[in-house]
Amino acid sequence: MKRLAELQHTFQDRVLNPGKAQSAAWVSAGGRAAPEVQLSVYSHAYVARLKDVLATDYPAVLMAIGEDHFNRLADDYIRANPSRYFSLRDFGQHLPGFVSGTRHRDTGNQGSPWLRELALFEWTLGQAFDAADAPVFTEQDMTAIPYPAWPELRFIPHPSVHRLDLEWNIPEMWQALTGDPPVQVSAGRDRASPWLVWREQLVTRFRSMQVDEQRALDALRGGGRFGEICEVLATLLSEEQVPLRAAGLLKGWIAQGLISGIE
Amino acid sequence: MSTDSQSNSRPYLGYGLGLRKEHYDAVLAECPNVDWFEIISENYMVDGGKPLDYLSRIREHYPMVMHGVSLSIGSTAPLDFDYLKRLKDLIRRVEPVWFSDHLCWTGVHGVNLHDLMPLPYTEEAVLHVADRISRVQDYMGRRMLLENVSSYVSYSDSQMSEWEFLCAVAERADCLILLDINNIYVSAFNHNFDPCSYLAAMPGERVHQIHLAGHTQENNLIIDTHDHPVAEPVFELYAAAVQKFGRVSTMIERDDHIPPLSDLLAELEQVRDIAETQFKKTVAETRVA
Repeated sequence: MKRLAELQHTFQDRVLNPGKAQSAAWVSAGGRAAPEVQLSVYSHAYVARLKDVLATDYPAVLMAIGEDHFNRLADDYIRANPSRYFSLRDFGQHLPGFVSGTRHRDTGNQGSPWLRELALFEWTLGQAFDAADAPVFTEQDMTAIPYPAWPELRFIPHPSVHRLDLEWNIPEMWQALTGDPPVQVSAGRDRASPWLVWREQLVTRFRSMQVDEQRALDALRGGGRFGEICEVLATLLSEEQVPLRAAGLLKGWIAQGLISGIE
Repeated sequence: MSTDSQSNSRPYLGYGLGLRKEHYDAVLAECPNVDWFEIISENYMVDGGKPLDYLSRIREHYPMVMHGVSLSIGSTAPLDFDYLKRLKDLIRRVEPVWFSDHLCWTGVHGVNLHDLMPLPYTEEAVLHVADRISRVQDYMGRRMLLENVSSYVSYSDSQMSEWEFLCAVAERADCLILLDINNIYVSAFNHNFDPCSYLAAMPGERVHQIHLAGHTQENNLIIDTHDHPVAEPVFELYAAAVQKFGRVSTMIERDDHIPPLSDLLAELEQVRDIAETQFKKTVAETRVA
């Protein structure tokens, strides 16, 4: 297997590093095209295929920074992150972190600190899109539980539920950039606001949250019981407001398919 | 060429298409005249959501086969049993008539090039690949189909022709063959061999499926792009394959510049006509003889 292993190592190195001076003596000269041309098919296809994947996963990023800058960003990302996944679906997962790093050349996003958030938002939408299916807990299920048992209930969030804190007007930008026709919207910075991304049946959704809902949902996702969620709300609301708000939030989460069960 | 005597022993599905997301709604709304669909396995190795929902709904109406691109059966890297487990889970869900992947490698050292890299046609590679196919078939509890790939590179190390290599691997691993007629045509052009020699060497009893696809002609190379209709010379080679093998489950792959479903259905009718006409002609000639 030594010879086969060497050949695969050499060929892969050639695809990943096409600019590196390397001998092509291992390629037969019997083909119709010259060995260098034969090899270039694979190195070009590698980059082109992965660029297509990034453009599909990050359409708003592409629209926001334009094709030239996106191409340079994609080139740098592809060189820095050879795919280690069996599925192309996972290849782009490090782009949000890469955008905010300093390893890449100027990709037009200097002075665009919102770009990491936009990339993260797009990636999160994709995560919700094909997250695991799970049963949806209904209002009817809830009414079957006697009220005295509620404080001890622990709610299981649907696997598609994701939380983001965004400092920029990213959802507004994303909607404009992916509209038909796409529209550029100026990035605007505000204080960090909590956002929720999830899938309701088969439709990916997102919405902003009030701070009390964010704290309560974070407590739920952290495994807190309903009683503990009420305690979190009590740090933000008056004692008499808590039961009504807690019940209202729970009703909304159930109606929107955010809860898949109790334990 | 004569029709292989054992051709009747293989399962026959008729004429199919590759299932693509662009056609999900049309397939469900129109229930088109397609005998079966082939899915790209990796596209459905996800946890849930729309892809699996559409898959289940379409599976209710059509037989399916599964076609993978990441098995990397020819790699010198260890077999990826996490991947195989997910593949096996999908097989349980879809209950395909069979599953297939490519006679190639896709990466080493933990990297996936997401391309179908050709193997050198050596004794060493035959032994290596056949052993891995046997292990995969044992793990899956069923035989698999291996597909010939289009190639743009040939290796100085090669000791035999591509068809001798494919036959040797299939024989040693006792696996089945998915014969891609376009890939034979593309590689024959790129490497200066006669595509009919390839067809003539194939063990008909192992050929359970045929792929047809379009390609792109460049200066001194043909690239297997799957972004055009099937080319006329590929149809001619397909007719020769039907003459040799009899009826084999055949489908069209289209992966880029995907046209409306109606265009692919019209192309599939053309495939059906070519195959049925050739088959009847071959049967008539056999009777006369």
